[in-house]
Amino acid sequence: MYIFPVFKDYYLLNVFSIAVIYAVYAASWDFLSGFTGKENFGHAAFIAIGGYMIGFISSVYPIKPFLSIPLAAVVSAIFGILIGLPTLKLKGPYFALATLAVATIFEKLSISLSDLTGGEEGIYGIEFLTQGQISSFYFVLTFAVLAILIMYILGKSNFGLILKSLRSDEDAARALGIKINFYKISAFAVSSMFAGIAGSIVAHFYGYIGPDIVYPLSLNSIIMAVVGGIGGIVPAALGGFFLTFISEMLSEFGDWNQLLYTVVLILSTLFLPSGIFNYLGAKIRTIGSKAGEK
Amino acid sequence: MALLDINNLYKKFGGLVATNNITFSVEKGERVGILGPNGAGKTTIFNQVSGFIKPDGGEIIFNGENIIGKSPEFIAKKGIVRTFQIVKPFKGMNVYDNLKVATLSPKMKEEIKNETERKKWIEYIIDICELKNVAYTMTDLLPQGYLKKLEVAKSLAIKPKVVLLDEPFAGLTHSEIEPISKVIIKANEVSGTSIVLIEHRLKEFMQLVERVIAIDYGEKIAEGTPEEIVKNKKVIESYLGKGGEEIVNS
Repeated sequence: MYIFPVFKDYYLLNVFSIAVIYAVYAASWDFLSGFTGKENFGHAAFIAIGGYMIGFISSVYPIKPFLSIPLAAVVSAIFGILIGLPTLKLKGPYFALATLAVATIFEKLSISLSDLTGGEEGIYGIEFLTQGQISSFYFVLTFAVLAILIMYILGKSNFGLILKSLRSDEDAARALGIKINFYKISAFAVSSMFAGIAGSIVAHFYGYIGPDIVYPLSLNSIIMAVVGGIGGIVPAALGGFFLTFISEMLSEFGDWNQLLYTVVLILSTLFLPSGIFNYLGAKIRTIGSKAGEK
Repeated sequence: MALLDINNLYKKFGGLVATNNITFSVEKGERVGILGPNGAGKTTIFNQVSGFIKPDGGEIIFNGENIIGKSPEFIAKKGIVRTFQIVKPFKGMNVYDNLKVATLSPKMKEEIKNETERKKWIEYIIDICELKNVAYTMTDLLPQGYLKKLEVAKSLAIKPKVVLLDEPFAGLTHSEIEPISKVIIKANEVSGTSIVLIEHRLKEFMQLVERVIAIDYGEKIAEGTPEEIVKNKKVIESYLGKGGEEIVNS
């Protein structure tokens, strides 16, 4: 089904795999925040739930991916609901601050509870995703395609349409009788579930989970999704993929590659506020319809 | 017993009594207007009946059930829908999808069984509300006149028993008002939907409603047919000013 990537070395394959997972991070952020307009500034907390849970279990029992993925899905979805219940009543910046606080608490806990979490060092020795690099890549790719496809279909469905209605006006939706809390919590659960699964897959992929591969993602997920374009899952996922890919390719420049994120963010918000891939998508559609007229 | 009975509705904001024991009723298929100067408490009545503000006292009996203090979602499902003075279209989607959201509400989910029926119903609403030429236009691009129409269309899309229209004509020219006014009458006459209207455009208001409730400082000061209301001394003092009759008869 997939075109076999003609990678000369495993390094590129590695970068590709990570970029694909980051695409899921961005897409899952989009599913809650891009659709409902509830900006989640603590997406890393949901990634951490999946990743660290596998880490904890692995330190006592070598859990395999086929078991840990459904487990991560259930636990992170429940966690999303628990966090969503009190916070989704908050409006605008207060919701953003509350989610930021959740992620900050998680970050502090994973550093200070070092007996359990390994502190800054993180947890090593998690079972690898599969035995080989190539099979791991296909595993990750399959998961990402499925996850993005499911979120895309949900987003296009009537469910997604209601989520979008909440973005512009919750009161207008309530006046029509739409149970806004149910929809917001469900969106939170779906977003959190996919973030959690992706987190657990990353843990298996590296055989490691630690603060360095989790907590920068609160901000980076937002940047990836916004640069790619929100409200359509695929543009956000593409944003996640390409930003990660490029930034990994530039990793030899050391810390300078972090600048890439911010520069791209500034440029894209200035010149393409609807997102690079939303813009390209619209362009292609107009060209397509013009060609159709002829 | 009327369809909607509002008894001694009382609401206080700090030291200000916003609605002071307001009592009125709305019959099935009736068109009732609420008249009063700015700040009299008209929208506050709508906010309480539709569940957006919890009343401090009184009763709201709808179809024999006391719905006071219930959530907007609950009340909308029962069949009371309100519009907003400042239009609230769903942005980032077109007119068709705006109406589709309305058809996805719990009330319509029970009535519409499949997507074909949904499409038919939306197209019917688009048709009677004269939104056909903008059906696939993003609401972000629509002028005020269409947005006002859409606001009414969205409320009618859930087949309500009572529609609370909060200044549907505000900011519109005469030619823009007419189609909306026609839609309201059509919904009322064809489906027997009761209409409660707040409006400052007096001429259109008086032509549309059959009965007027006049309020001032949160209290009901008069009730009657438009002809009676314009002659009422209290109403003239508080709202119409001299020459109120001419407005109606013009």
